[in-house]
Amino acid sequence: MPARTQPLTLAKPNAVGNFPADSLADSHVNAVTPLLEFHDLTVAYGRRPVLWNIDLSISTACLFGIIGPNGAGKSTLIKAALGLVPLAGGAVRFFGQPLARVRRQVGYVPQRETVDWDFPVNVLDVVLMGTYARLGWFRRPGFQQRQLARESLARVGLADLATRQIGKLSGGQQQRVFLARALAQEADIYFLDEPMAGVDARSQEQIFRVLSELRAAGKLVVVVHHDLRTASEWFDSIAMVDMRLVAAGPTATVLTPENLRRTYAGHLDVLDEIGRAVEQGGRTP
Amino acid sequence: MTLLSAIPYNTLVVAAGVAAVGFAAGVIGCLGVLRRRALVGDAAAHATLIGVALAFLVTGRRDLPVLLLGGFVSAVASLGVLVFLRRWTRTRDDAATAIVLGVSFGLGITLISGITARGIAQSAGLEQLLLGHTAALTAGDALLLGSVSLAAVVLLLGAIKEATLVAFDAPFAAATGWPVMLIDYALVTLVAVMVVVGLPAAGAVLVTALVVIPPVAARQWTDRVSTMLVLAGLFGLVSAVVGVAVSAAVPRLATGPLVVLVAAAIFLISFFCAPTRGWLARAIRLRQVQRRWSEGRLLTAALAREESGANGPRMTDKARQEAVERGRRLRVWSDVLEFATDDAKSFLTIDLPAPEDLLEPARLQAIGAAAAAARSPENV
Amino acid sequence: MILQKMFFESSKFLSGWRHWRCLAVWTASLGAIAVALVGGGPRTLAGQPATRRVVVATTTVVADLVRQVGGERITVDSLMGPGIDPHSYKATPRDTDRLSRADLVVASGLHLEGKLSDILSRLGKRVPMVAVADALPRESLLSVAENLYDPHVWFDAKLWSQCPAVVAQALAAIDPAGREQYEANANAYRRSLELLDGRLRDRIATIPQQQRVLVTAHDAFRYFGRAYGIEVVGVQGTSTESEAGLNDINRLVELLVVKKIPAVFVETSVSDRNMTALREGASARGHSVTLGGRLYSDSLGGPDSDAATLEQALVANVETIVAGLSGGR
Repeated sequence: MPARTQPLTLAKPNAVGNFPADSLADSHVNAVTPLLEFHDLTVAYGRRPVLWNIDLSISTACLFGIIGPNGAGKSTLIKAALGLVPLAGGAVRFFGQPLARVRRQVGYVPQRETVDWDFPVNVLDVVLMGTYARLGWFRRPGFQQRQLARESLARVGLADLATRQIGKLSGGQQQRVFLARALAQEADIYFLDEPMAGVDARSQEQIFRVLSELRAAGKLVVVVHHDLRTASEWFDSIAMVDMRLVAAGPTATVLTPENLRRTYAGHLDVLDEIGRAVEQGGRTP
Repeated sequence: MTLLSAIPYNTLVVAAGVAAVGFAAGVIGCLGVLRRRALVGDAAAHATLIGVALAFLVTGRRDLPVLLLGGFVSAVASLGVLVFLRRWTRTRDDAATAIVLGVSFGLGITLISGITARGIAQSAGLEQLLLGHTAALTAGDALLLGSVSLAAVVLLLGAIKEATLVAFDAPFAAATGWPVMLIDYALVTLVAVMVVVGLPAAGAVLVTALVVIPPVAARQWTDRVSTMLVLAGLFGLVSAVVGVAVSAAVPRLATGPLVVLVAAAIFLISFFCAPTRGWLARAIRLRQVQRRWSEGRLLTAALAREESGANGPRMTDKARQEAVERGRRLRVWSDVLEFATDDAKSFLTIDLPAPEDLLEPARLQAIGAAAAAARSPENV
Repeated sequence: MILQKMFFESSKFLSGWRHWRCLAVWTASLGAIAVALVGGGPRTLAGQPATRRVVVATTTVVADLVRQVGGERITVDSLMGPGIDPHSYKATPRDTDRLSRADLVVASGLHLEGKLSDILSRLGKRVPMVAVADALPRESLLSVAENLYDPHVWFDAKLWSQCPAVVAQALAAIDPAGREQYEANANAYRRSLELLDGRLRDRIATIPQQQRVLVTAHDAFRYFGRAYGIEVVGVQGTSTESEAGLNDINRLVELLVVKKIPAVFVETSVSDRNMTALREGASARGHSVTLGGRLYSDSLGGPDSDAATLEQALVANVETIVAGLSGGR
């Protein structure tokens, strides 16, 4: 039986994910509300399911990795959490609440392909966009917001690129701009979708450093990650996903050859190499 | 004020009306172009005819406000159909736009020719909205066009941050709680407003040009949204004024198409001459790069030949220094390429900068050590 | 698709002949729909003896001419109704049908029916056709460009009086028995037009020389101007298809103000947008210009109007012009 965090025993929600009011109050097993919780999450594109009955609960602030093969539904998992794709069934809760009530506390770093890099904005403009949600309708960003944006830029090491048009940045720099934008959201939970893809090693280290700072500050950082080698180094806990949740928990416990096989069945070459290395002593090459 | 009084009244009225439309169309068109929805304006323009014909049929009146209101309603309705097609069927963007454009235009023309064929009183001239009747704008028309244009611009500028956010990164906007569909629809409705208002100014066939050409031209000159908005508005305004001026000076030239032609001319000039993004600028830069590279290689070759002791003209001291420095930089960069490829990708540029300016000393040392180790005898 | 499906579904439920009856019902209803869409059979006017020839005229002006010459022996059908602009009129399939079933088609000619030229030239090979203005001697026509003439010839009553003979000839060709009558009618009409010509000239002469300028929406009245001694200016060109330019509007405003022209005139078949702009321009310079009235230009009025025939239209026009222009300073 693969190691698995115990989900809270909650009553089953109806298909659209509304929890019957009483059950939430009655059935807390412990006093701590999970920071993030996926309950019976099923997502389909048309009639094809992409995620099936995902049950996952995260109770402590940490660096949480989501790993799995291509097409496993990893991106879909966080898009579902953020309401960007509709759910076929199940629900996602943040601090026990639906997303609509706690949007301000959730930050997002999407994949770089979603954006037109030729857009006439510079780095600072993009980071400022992170402050818009708190500003609300029709108000202009003022001195405070600019200050926050500059600080966020400094944290990711891009302070002197503030006036550069975003198309003129390298991949790693673009990723760091997105991260700075999420920092400017001043959230408590952060979702990052493959932040290290196509990024040079230097930028990767910098990004990781910022994420660690966030974790140290008590934030939950959920990262969809593509690279198994660094996964075991960086993340405290991981979830292994391939359309269903294979395993979830502390990295050391969960990253076993057995689980790797179950997740990556069919990706044998990667598997053998990793598996052998893991067996040989915990650290992957 | 004597200059103003020397200009014929009609010219002033037409210029005022078309300038207002040109300016507003330019500004609002920016967001449409940035959102990659420029063609939507075209679909809206072609759909206005249905509403114009129906407005005439229902009210029996031909005043501009009535007709334009009808046009606006049908334009918005057609955009609704477009959204519907995109979301609920598998039709792709360009096909859906073409369908809506063609069908609504066909319906509109059928209606209008049906009306004129039946000789319904006062119906002559509905078709003029196809081509615009810029020269015949009255003061009342100009006032209407001016006020609608102003209102539209004010609305857009009020919500410019929301519009820019959604145009730039809609998924992020949605994730952070903005109603993306609502904002999108509002934007597209504003474009429809400008298209409808531009009907008397340029006609249904050409009005899209007013909404698309100035923003695209403005984009060539700047990398900031705010500047782009100002420039696009300016280009629209100038196109209007110049077009009207030329049409007032030369007999037998229709005014509406002239305005569009001037806008196109501005675009062509922008395309070629804009610094940084302009075609000319890029061509010059490319030549510069190529020439510097050739010069560099010439220096290197000259140095090599000197060192090998051949005869011939001697290099100047300065040239030799440059060649030596170039050779050094090339060696260091190839080491960086080999042992720290990511750094090379981040920092190396075609004009061969000094590695010390871009990489930290510790890093350079490490790379140098790795290179030395690789070159040492035991590894050969 | 749906019909096929239903057909096959029904075959499961209904046995034998019921199934075929169902099919027959479907075919019949489809056929009925098709027939209704295509639009019935040939139009026959109620209560006409079969021996009357059917003549289709393109414009109301031409229809009037044919009626004057043809009299009781023919039935005249006008393709375009009152108030319709012949420069931009496009034929519908029903029109093509009517044209092709006619015994004779009479057009105005000289490219007045600009958008019908294709259809007319094709049909001209099958159906007897004549264009009355094309038969006029070229020297008496006003030219617009190389080989292109102003088609508004009916405004010169004397010139137009040469056309009844052309129509009489064409009618005699399809109905030889009526030749005598057609020629008699044509002669009578010609004399009537010649008389009218003189009266119109006298009426126009009552307008003070200075104000004798006719400003209208398009250049339809050049023959009128030449025949009756009045300067004519149109905002749009000879065809309503062209859009007026600002320069033209300005020049006209200048003309109105300098010559102190008291009125401009709109046309029944053309938009009056341009006229409104002209009046505003003149009024801004302190010269008030009234809307003199609505002229019949490319079309006559309806049967109940004061311009059911060409002669009535010419008289109505002249009265409107005289009233409008004489009432100035």
